[in-house]
Amino acid sequence: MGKRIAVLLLTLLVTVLMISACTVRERPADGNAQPTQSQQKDQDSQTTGIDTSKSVSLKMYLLGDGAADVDLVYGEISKILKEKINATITVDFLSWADHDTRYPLLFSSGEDFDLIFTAAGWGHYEQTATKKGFYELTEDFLNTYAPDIMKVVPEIAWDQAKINGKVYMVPNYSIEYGYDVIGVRGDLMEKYGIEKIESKEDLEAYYDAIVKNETDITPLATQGIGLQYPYLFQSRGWQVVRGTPLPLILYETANPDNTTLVSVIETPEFREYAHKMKEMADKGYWSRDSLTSNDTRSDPWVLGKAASMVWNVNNVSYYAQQINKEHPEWKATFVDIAPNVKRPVNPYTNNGVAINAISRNPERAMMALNLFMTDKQVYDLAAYGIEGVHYKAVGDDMYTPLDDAGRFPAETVCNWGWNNENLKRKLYVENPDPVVIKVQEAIEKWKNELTSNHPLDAFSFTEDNVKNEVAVISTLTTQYFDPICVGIVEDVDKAIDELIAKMKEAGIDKVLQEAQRQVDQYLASKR
Amino acid sequence: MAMKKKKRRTDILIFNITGYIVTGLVALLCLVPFVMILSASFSEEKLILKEGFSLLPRNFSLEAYRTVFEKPEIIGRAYLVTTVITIIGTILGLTLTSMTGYVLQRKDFEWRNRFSFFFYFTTLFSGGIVPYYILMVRYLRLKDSYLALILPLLFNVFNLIVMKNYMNGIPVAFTEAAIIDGCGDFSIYYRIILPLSKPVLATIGLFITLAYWNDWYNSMLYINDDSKYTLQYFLYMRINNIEAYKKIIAQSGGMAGSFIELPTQTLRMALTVVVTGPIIFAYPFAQKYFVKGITIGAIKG
Amino acid sequence: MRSKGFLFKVRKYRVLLLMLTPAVLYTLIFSYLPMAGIVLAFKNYNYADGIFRSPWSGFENFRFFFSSGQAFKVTRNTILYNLAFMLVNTVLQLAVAIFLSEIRGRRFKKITQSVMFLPYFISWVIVSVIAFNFLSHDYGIINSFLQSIGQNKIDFYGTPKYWVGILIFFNAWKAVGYGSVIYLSAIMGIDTEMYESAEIDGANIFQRILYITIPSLTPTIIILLLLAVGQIFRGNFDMFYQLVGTNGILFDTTDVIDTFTFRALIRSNDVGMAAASGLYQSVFCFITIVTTNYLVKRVDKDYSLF
Repeated sequence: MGKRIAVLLLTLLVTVLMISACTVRERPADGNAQPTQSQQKDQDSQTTGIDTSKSVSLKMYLLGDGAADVDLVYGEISKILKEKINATITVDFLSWADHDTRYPLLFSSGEDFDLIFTAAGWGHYEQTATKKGFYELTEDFLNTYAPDIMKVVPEIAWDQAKINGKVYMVPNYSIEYGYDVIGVRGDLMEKYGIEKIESKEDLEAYYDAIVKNETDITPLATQGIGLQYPYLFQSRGWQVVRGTPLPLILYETANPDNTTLVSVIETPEFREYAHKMKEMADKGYWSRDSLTSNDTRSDPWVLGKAASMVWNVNNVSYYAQQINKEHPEWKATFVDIAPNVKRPVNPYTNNGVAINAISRNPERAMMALNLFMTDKQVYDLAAYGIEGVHYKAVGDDMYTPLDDAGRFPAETVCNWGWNNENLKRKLYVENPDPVVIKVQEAIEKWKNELTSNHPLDAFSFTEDNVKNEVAVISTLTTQYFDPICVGIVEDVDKAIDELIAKMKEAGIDKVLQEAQRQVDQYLASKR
Repeated sequence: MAMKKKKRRTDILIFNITGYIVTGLVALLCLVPFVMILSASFSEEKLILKEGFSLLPRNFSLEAYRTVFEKPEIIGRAYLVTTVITIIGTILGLTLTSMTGYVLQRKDFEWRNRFSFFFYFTTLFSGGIVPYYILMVRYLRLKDSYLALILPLLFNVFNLIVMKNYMNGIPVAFTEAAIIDGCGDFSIYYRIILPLSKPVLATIGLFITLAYWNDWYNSMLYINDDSKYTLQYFLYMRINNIEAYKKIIAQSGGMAGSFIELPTQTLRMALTVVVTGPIIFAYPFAQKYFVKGITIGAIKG
Repeated sequence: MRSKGFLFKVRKYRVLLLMLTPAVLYTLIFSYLPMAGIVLAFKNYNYADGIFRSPWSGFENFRFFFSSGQAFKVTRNTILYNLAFMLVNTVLQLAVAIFLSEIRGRRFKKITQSVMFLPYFISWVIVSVIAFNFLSHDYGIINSFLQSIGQNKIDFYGTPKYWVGILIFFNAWKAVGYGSVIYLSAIMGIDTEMYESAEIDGANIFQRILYITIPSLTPTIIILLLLAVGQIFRGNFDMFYQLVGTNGILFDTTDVIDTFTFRALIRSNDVGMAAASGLYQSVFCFITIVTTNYLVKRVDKDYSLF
């Protein structure tokens, strides 16, 4: 008897599961099939010229929390789009807090939308593209529907956006440097007679003076790991291969002829660096709790607990200005410990926009994006709000915020996906902080003299073939690599040997080989 | 007689002393961090970052609360949504749990173990978030529906088993007597078992209430319309947005924005206080039902 | 004959079955239907093909876990922590519940009970901030105190061995209010006549607890332990991740399956690999609980889960 009931229940269960399986199976299928059909129809009719007789409404997902006047501003944008391409647009936001969870779910559940912000590295680009979430942007497609974008976005940017040889995003066009500089306190430099900091030795002299003489100030804001880039990579002209797991696989950005990749942990330079970090940590350059501390990179410096911070030049200057507002006597500024080394421009794929693979109107979406990026009127609206309400234009390339700017803060409502260096406005300030001028001068110099031009600056690694290895390496990095970089291991050489052994076991050589293979293939395709 | 009384007094004395010390100590350990949170929430952000927490506010400041209540109409609305959802969810959940628990403990119900296993099995295996999300959004079309906030937390197997276990302890005599009196299965549940289960109903009711009250996850997944945000999600967003934004700036090497100046540490603490405040009053309500009182004799007689 | 018997029983239990229906339907829809997602563990998932039509990948998704050289360590940690949590939590919660049910001061009882619920509301993120305030090497409250009495500082965040204790402490601290309520309600359900007759027999308070309260609570204790055993391969991600974070120095004693998987997949966000690691935990939980339940059932049928 009991058995029969068990059997019955089981059959019931299996039936339900199967029914569910079937229904679940069918839905995504027709969800996909429909748009493809309509796409084909559209394309057929578009062989001659672009037909925009049918009015469409587009939907775009952006990151962040929006702003109070988003609907108002995008209403204005819609008016222009309606006139020019017979389309309207609405936006929805995936907030900072939960885009990691919701972004992939939008695609899993087949949600109906057309455009979405994306970014390589931090904005779901590679993951979504390899899972077939984005619409492929062929050259033909781009040339047909976004001719103006093709004139703006440089060739190298499209190369950076390639995943297995195909492009899935329109990269933004802005020239920024991720190169880390070091924010320091001018008053402390004067106090200890340090005139300039232009090398590692200068920096260490500064740090030593502080460790010896200041009881309440540590030399470096908590995260000792911040020195990794200036010390280990930048000063040696090394660059991490884009898309590789964590800072382990490098190429020599200063030398365009060298396209051989290096695994950093086995180099003598890494050993030297590790010993240096241990020495620094032992001297008390940063807190012993470095790896756990909740402090941000900047807080201790801004609050006067630390004598320096490490970050890219924009952020350092931002915090320096903040300090100089509150404590002008601290004379915050920034220094570069490798002032003559070439540095690459940030990848253009740092921000971008993609089209949903199941969008019903990919062509119109592309045309809309074309306007967002290259139409001055639309660009200004999306970036700065409504002229006379949120901002006041100062000439063609500057602006000042107006009283209502808080309802649509300039350049914060996720317009970064279609940044365009040619249309960008600068904030107009009457008496800028000296740091600001120093930054402008530095960047001018970098642009003119110090920008690297290495073929691999445009290359991106795709981890598909080695994703298990990459997963393991990611976790081992936290466990074995980071502690070495903040100098809190007991015995540096032993720790490095263990790191190398673990990484080899996890397959770092395989990843290196795969990366080199992709590099060679990429270079061959360029020739 | 006198001897005996004295002896009993000493054992009760010893017991009470240990009892007061142990529970007092545990309570103290639970209280201190909360006091630190409370005082941090009234402190100045900079001093907290610089000097850490303390038992008294550092440089009394209402900055964090000002940020929390920046948009009073939204937070008021969020309180309302959360309260209504919590009340409805608790009533439905408690009914479902107690009814199911009752059936599963009926010793004359032959299939009770099979059904228990049927329920328990779901705590072991799950398909993860992707299919669940697809089910909720595509098939049940619950996006932006209040049901999406109620349904996922309605029925919890852990609660069910605790419920069933308690009812198991109610002597069978009660049920048997009722059957003899001609009570049907449902009226036994309703008239006999439920009244005898007050302590566990209070406990599970409390658990369900807390689960609804503390829920932000379902809001995050299914609610886009900000007039339907629950309190926890609204607060969770406030704080995490600021932090995530800072983190993304760090990763992308972008430009730091105005977010940086908002308090985060003290804000976090203020949010905890704002959330915990009202719900802590639900507890004494449940406590009322923790009264010894079950006696078989009473019914038999 | 047999099927008639079955139908007969359905008739006999019709009210009970009707009462079960809502919960059964709910469970079918919200738990069993989505369970189909388990197949993701064996698939190379992509959005275009969806859950069921994505290509099969065999056991490829499991490889990252077993080839890491960490599988044994993190599994061991997960189990040992859960065992420790079970022991410490049960003893503490039981003790607190018994004390609260017996001591006299009503106001004291009410206040302490409420206060013990406070940690439940403090999210692990905040717990980690508070913990850091106590344990930090440079400014921590404990180390400042040690320094002031002339002792050496303790490097908590650099020494793995302390963390077993620290994690057990915080886990117990957070669960004590929640857990003791269950025991408390069970104590309330004990027949008061038993206490009365014990009192007449002259039993002292310790005897009453030992011979009446504890035995009456045994089913509850066993059920709660069984529920915990059923989750023995799962680590409380929030707790481990927030308290330990990315401090690799401590991983030897603090890394559990869930934190390991999280770190491994934080870049790729791979649904299939996440499902694989979840399935590994599920299968072992299943084996463990079915075995344990069988053993318990052999001792006493009433104590088993199913």
